[in-house]
Amino acid sequence: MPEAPRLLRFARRLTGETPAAEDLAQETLLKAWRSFHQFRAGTSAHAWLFRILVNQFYGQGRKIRAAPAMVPLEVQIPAGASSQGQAKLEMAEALSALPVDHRTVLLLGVVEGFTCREISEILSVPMGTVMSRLSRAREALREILAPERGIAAVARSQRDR
Amino acid sequence: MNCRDIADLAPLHLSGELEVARRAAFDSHLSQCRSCARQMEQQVVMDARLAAALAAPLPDATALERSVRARIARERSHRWMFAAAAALVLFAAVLGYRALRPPHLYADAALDHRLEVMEHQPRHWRTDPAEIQKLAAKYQLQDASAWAPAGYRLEHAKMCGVDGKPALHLVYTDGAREFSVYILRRTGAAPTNLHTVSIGQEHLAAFQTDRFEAVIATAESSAECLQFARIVAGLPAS
Repeated sequence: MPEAPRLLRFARRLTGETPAAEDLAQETLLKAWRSFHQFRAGTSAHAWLFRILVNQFYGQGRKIRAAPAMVPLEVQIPAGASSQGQAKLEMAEALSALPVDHRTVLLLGVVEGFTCREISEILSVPMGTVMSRLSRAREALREILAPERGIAAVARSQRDR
Repeated sequence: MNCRDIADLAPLHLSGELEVARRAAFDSHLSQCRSCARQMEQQVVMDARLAAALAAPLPDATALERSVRARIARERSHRWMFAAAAALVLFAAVLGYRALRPPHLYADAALDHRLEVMEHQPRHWRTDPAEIQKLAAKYQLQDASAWAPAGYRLEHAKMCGVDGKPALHLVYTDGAREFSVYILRRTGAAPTNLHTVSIGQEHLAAFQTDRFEAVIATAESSAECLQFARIVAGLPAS
């Protein structure tokens, strides 16, 4: 299962490092095994797996989806945290402040390195929607990371969902 | 390209999806517009920070993989067990059906007796004893007329088909009651004891010797049918 570590990483970032991430990744791999006959040869197995994961995540619905928007991520930082650990915490917190749709496109595009076209397939939304979501998510994140404008960005980001 | 286009197309530029011509126009605008250039620069830096903070290191998924494999193995064995159970149920159903349904042979014989003997539908019967004996010889029957119990005589005979197989149909009568005896080539199964069945108004008895299979049909009664069959089979009357 060469995709397992990446799926697990994505699930953790998406759910806010909760135990639900393990379940999400596990259900994704199982579902992929069960429905492998639906996978069309010639398409990206990678994108297919992430699509299953995203569908599972959105399918689980309110339970996970409603909660995490403003819940701070619990990122484990070893004692005597390095500046790298600090940066990770800061980023994770900023990301957790974004609406889930924005967090999803940023994680897929920037962290997992999918193209806009692949993201549109994974999320089953048009290219234009992916592009505008990415732009708004980037803008919101940038403003959160620049503290003096952070509140306004979060408010706008929430409103734009 | 204006500043608005740059903002719209920025995601495609950052993901490397802009085709050559639009990429050139995009870069050409950036070289002339300080504001857009700075925006893009900041964006590239922030993407890099985000990726660096969240991408590495990849988590250890060994435990996850182990539990997925275990669940797959469980599901596979459940599937196998389910398939086996389904096959077993089907097998039992087929066996049950075969055991319970009246065999076509008997149903055919009952119908044949009803139409040809009881209702006297016109058929080309043979009445000449020599001709009948010629037919009987094909089934290794010594003397078909000798089968008649006391008071009965061989009335007539002909070739017919029951259950899709050729059979010699012999009719015995005492003037009032009539019995049909169907002789078929034996199927290859082991000789069977006398057994009886009733289908509709007909009572049947059947047995198989090492030479032929015989089915006796009558509308009289089950007991009389059995009695007649015992004589044909060469068994002492009960």
